[in-house]
Amino acid sequence: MRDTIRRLELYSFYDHTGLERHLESMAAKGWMVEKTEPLWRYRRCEPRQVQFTVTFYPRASMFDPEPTEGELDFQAFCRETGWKLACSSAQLQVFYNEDLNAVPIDTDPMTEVETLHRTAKRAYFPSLFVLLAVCLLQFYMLISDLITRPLYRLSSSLWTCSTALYILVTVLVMAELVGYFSWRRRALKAARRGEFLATKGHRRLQIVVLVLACAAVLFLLVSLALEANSVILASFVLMALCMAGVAALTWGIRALFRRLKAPRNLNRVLTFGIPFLVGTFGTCFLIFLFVSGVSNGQIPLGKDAGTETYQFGGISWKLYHDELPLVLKDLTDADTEDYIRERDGDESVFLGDFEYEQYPRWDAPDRSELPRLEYEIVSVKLPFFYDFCVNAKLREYKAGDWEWVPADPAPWGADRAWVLTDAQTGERWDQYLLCGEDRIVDIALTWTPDEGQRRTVGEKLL
Amino acid sequence: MPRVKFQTLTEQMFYALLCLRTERCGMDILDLVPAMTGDQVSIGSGTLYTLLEQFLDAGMIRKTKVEGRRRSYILTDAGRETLKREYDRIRRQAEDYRRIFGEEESK
Repeated sequence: MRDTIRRLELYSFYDHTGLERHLESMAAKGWMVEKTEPLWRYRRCEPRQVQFTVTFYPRASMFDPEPTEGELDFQAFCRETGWKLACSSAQLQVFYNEDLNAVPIDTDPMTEVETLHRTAKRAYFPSLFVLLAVCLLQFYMLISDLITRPLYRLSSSLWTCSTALYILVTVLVMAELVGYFSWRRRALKAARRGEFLATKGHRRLQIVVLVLACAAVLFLLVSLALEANSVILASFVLMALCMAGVAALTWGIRALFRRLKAPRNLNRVLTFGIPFLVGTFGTCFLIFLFVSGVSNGQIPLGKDAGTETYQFGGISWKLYHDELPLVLKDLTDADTEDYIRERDGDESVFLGDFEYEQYPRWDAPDRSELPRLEYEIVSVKLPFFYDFCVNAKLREYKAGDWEWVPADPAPWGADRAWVLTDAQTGERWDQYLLCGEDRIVDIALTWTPDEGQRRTVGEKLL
Repeated sequence: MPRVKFQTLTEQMFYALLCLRTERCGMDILDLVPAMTGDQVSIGSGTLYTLLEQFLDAGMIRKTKVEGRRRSYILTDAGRETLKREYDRIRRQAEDYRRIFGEEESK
């Protein structure tokens, strides 16, 4: 039978009422809290009814080598009225009292609201506002990227999962800040009437966000593993390990210098400075290793792993032999035996966006005269994204000298079709945009296809 | 509308300052206030600690001695003036009450 248990307690930073009720319930079940870092630790005790008060001592700091004189005075005051210290961590002070009718630690609502606000300003707001700024900046960059390259981004599992994680963290931070300021506004009103206002955090939201964040990371890992994208998967795992390592280093340095009784400010500088330097130099070193590994071929990127090469013009070219849903042989009698078949793209829960190309080697005689085939297939998995994807494709040439002009979809067996046209002269090019039930195909040919070829394209790709 | 600090005193502020007419340590105040008010007013330890810090910052009390964890304080002239102002305010309220209800009773 275990004598201690550790739990991750998800409570809003200001939700002392929720935490008090929880600790009372744990004590009633026979578990008394004794430590809050890094997880909340409870030791077995006789089940009993006790009263808990979670309060704050704003002048304390997580970098203090030991409780300051002021903090010890504060604890002594509380002890004098029967309140025993269960545990403390930085500003957070957890007291309990076996006398259920004891005078509370806080008897003035205005003082309680002010104390909590002073604590929030010193201990919680700096990290919450920095986190919010980072999330919003990252969010802005992700959304800008989505606007400029919507199909490329929406088809990336890495992008969709990163965006989901940033949205989740932003929601959580906003909920904490909005929840706190909303409570404070109402608590001040109540305090002017001489009344206390219980706090109410966002415990359910925190649990939901944690579960969704874990699901997003798991989904990303599975997606990368299924795509056999070993380099990206390894990079992601390495990055996650590095972040966990830096977090552990930060925690370890602070704990070490507290044990060594380093002054508060020295500990603060070392706790932030050492991980920052280690993180910066470590990241630079890993990027250097990665770039040099890729450039000398020791780290094969994605589909390039094990690909044959040939030399032309002093450059090493890849010889791809990927499976393509439509090849030149389906459309022409040209000899395409030595042609290169290349497939590239990505797939997410929203859509798949793959580009296919069949082209002659660089060293082929009369290369510019030989036919080639190039097409992109967008597979839309969620119907409400379909028009968004079609419009994104139609916008691709809008700013240039080309434009999509509606064409007859019937020969392709498509629902809708467009042909790429010179906006100035009206000359038509052999590039077509075709819409099927859940697919959008952008195909470029080096000749004008006849009726039969159009039908074959539609049958194979739509 | 936000109240200017210490322009008016809460019951707990009033009695905490009243206790410091003579030199006392904070822990004595915790016991003295209920005794002085017939258990009508009690001050929580956290609230008293914060109030003493605020009174010190406002120059209404000063620290006189430190013996272990026991720190003693005494009222300053500024604190006495604040208490007097609060007393006058309460007295004016009492006089207003007497004026209104006293007239009614005499009728």
